[in-house]
Amino acid sequence: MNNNTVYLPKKLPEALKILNSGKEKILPLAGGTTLLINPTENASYIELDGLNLNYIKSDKNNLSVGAMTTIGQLSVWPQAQKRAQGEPWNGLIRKCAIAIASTPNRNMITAGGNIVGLRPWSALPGVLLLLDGKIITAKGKIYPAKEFFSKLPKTILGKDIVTEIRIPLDNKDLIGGWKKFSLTSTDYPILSMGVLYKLKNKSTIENIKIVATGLTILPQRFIKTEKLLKNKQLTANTIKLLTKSLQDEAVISADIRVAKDYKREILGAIFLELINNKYNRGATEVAEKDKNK
Amino acid sequence: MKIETFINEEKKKLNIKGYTEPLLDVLRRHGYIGAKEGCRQGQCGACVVLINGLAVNSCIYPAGRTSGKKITTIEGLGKPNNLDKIQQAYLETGAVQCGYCTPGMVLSTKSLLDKNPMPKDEEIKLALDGNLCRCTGYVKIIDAVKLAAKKLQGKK
Ligand SMILES: Cc1cc2nc3c(=O)[nH]c(=O)nc-3n(C[C@H](O)[C@H](O)[C@H](O)COP(=O)(O)OP(=O)(O)OC[C@H]3O[C@@H](n4cnc5c(N)ncnc54)[C@H](O)[C@@H]3O)c2cc1C
Ligand code: FES
Ligand code: FES
Repeated sequence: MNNNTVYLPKKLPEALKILNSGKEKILPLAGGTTLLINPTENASYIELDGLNLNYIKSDKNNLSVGAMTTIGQLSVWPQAQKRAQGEPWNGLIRKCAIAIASTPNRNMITAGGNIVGLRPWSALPGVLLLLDGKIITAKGKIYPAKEFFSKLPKTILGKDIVTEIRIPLDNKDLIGGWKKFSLTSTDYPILSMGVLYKLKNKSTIENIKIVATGLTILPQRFIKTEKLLKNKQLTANTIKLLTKSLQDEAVISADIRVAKDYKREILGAIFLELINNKYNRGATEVAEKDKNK
Repeated sequence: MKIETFINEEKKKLNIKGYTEPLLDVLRRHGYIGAKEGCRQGQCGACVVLINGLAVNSCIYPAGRTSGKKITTIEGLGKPNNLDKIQQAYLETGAVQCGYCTPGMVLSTKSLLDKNPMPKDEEIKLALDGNLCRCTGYVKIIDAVKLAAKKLQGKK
């Protein structure tokens, strides 16, 4: 039975005041997709709907996403005609958003809820790590994604409300890719992986960032493998070595659904797909040629 | 607690047990029994209704949040002797067997076709990805959406 008291503030400062008002356990209510499935007993909620936190804006420097923006809205951003002109990061945000849950859930899950209510499968935290995103709060704090996802975000946030996610647009020409692996297309993922990279001479990685979610509660960067990949030509042999490095670097917690070794194998397979995809012009041919030698 | 909303374009006052009472329970208590309970976990889509034209899983949607919003349930489409074009298309293609998933499917279809009158196969699959059907195998459902699109365009 959901019988939590819900406060309905009209303005953000009022919401913050309620959140910090006393001993009572109070939680912000965003999309509600966690809070309605597993209501927190003896807690009151603060409704964030109606605080004008639902927007996607961009200027020369940043993309700003209001905390109450839904994953559904992110999955169609930017609009089709703008997409045709070339999407930032090769559509990384959209690809990640579309992979989250299902259409009716995407219409409810919010960007803020996805990052604060971090679960092992939460996808947006991974993307924010790739894109050096920042998390802005009602108390005026600005947390780099690296810091915000270094522990459970709720412990870092305390009695504060996330109002916005901000992503610098200076690297928007980098190539991004996102893949989710789950038992059915809309199930909670077993793991997801994202890459963001730059190529030179079509098949040499100048720079790359790799993240995976679903391995432990926190999203994981693969710094060692990233360093190994720098300035490497993507031949079949290097790809094999790097896949091995990635599998060795991964920290994997127990998951009731699948064995750790299974996850490790999948991780390698997804990585191969991501760096060998059609956006990675040239690399596929190089790898193929190399294989056929 | 009382809230005022619009259900199928009619202004309604609803009694809710609390702001976070699932909308599904409120709707069914007020006679809108087309929305079905499947999993109560946001995983099956049997409970899908439209809020301001967007498909949501009403089993995990806080009823209090619908205040002032427009809810569309399956009762707002056709009537048994005067089916809406989407419902007619589902019937004609044989996209209905037990019918448990059908209200959610039809509403997800409506949400898609209202925005995108001639969707491609991939767009249909994406729009209906939250609606599980344990009977039909989905092929007929996709056919139904395509037929509904044609009917709504006056092409069938
Ligand atoms: C069937 C299903 C499948 C799913 N699959 C995926 C998936 O594939 N990938 C994925 O990433 N997610 C997935 N999710 C979503 C995920 O599990 C969470 O339910 C979701 O991210 C929570 O977001 P919400 O907006 O509904 O937050 P809520 O449920 O409203 O809140 C979640 C937590 O965050 C806190 N909170 C929310 N917003 C703020 C804020 N702005 N400031 C401070 N605190 C805040 C709340 O107090 C609460 O503790 C799935 C969910 C379902 C139901
Ligand atoms: S009953 Fe709502 S999604 Fe299954
Ligand atoms: S017709 Fe039976 S579940 Fe779809």
